[in-house]
Amino acid sequence: MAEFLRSYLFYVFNSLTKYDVVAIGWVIFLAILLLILAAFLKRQGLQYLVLFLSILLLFFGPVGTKVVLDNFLRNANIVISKVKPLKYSNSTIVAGTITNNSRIPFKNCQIALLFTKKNNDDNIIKKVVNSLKPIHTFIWDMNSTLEKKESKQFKIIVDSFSREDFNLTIQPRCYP
Amino acid sequence: MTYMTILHWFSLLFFIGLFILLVFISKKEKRRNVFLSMVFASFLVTFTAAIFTIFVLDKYTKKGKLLSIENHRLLRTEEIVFKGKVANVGKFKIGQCKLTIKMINNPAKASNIGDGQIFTPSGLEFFKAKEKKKERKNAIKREIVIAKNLRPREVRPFTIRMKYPPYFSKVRLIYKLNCR
Repeated sequence: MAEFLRSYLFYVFNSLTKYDVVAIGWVIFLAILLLILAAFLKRQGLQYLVLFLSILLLFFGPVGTKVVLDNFLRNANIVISKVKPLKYSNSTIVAGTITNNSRIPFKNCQIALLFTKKNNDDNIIKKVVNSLKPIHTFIWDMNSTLEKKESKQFKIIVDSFSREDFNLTIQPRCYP
Repeated sequence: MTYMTILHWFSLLFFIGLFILLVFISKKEKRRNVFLSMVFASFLVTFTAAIFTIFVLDKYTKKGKLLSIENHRLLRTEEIVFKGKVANVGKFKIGQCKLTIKMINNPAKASNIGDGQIFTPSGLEFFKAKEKKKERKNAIKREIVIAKNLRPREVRPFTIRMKYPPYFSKVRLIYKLNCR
């Protein structure tokens, strides 16, 4: 899981485009403006409020811009057509199609697969714990470009994992 | 630690100046608690902005490129040798370039699966050596620093030797260059 998170962070930093940089730059500039505003205010309560807002903006602004820009810049859609654990070899095959729904072409795409335990009971806490503790993770590199509105088929062979009962979560990670 | 180009130093100086300016502005505040929290908030904001700027500058100033890379195997020593060239195509000096090589064995081949892999007689396992019981790795990953202090437009050759397990066949190689 640690390796998975590390690769996710790597993806976040490396998929930043100049649009993201400009957006985050504006957020930080706004935070600095709020700081200056706080210095010129007279009432103490209002000053604390503005300072608090500025720090809040600093922490949640970049996350917010990423969430908003993900829809425009890194929007890829994956449709799974087949998931099959092999019988005689310790592997699982995942096949499907990936489509570029964003407004710019991608240089490369990765597909992250998260296999989690399947549970049938309705215990919410158990579900959350299971989703946080995947039994197996796998990141597949597509190594080819994906143009606007283009879709490509893929077939992934996951090594050393063969189980009948699992939930599969799939994450497209595309680098514009 | 990343190599600091002149742009990095300029941005750092700018943010230190901005912090001093912000402290100077909030100095006219007489209440001590408010003043301290203002200094704290301005420190937090300028620090984050400086780190963000350094990240962005790194992305646009340190441009390394793998010009060519080829490999051949040394069968006698069970090794593989990579020879290639790395170039600095940006306009600024690069501190170091790290190359990540990933070798992936082709596992999805029916002929690869021998009898022993499908069914191991339980009695025989006792006599096997301990090393053979270990699972064979199908992917090998290594990170190597291939160039240090690369000037703009400089091309530097490099050679890497690494172990090549004899059971690998039809290997897929993935190269990833990371310069900073």
